[in-house]
Amino acid sequence: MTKRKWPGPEEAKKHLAQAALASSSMTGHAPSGFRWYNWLWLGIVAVMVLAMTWPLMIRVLVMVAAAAAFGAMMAAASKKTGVWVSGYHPGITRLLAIGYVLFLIAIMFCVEHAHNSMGIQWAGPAGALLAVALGACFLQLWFRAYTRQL
Amino acid sequence: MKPEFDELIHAPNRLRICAALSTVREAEFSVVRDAIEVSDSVLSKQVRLLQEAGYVKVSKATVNTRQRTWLALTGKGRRAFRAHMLELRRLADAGVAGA
Repeated sequence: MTKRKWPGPEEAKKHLAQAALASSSMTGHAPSGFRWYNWLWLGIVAVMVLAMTWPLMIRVLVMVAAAAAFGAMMAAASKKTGVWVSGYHPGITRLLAIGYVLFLIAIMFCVEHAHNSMGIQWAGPAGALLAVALGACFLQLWFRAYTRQL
Repeated sequence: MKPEFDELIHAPNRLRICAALSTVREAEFSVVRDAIEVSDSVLSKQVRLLQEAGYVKVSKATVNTRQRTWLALTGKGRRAFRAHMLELRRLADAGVAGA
């Protein structure tokens, strides 16, 4: 069995440059900062947070519709561009998005319980504030995952 | 992650395929072909080798009655590519330090 000659520094540099060029050739498809779907996600989060003060059924409907709309837009974009627009850490970004929605649902039920069973009138706005704060934290993490800093 | 040289990935065309796919989750065959500027047959042949090694996943989807081929790096492929890139950086840096 012949053993391959280990590449020298020059060959390594050449290959690194080739890899960098190939990665950058996907620019326009690959995530490089805040793109339209990040803003769309932000808008959906804002609607979900706003929905915290709405009646329960409307809240659930808004969340399902928002998630479906986001999924449909992403699928449409992937068909159009030929690239599934997701970052280097698709698993992490997806987990963060799902995690945030789960937190929102948990807050929603807590608000509902506080309002209906305990009679706390300010539970809705407090829940919305908490959702905004959590949203800011998740967004920061999400952005870091997208820009490959995680 | 431990730097590790990967002979399969090191070949220029396969390295470019992995580099292009590493920035996205999935890409259509023609997008990768145009991005790295190779012919259909060259890309097809190199992708088959990467697929056999479990580095690339190939899936077919029908869009507007036309069948399209989508390529994606698998978890194993992503790890191997990153380890290979780390090794290349280590070798390049060793060259600079030794100069």
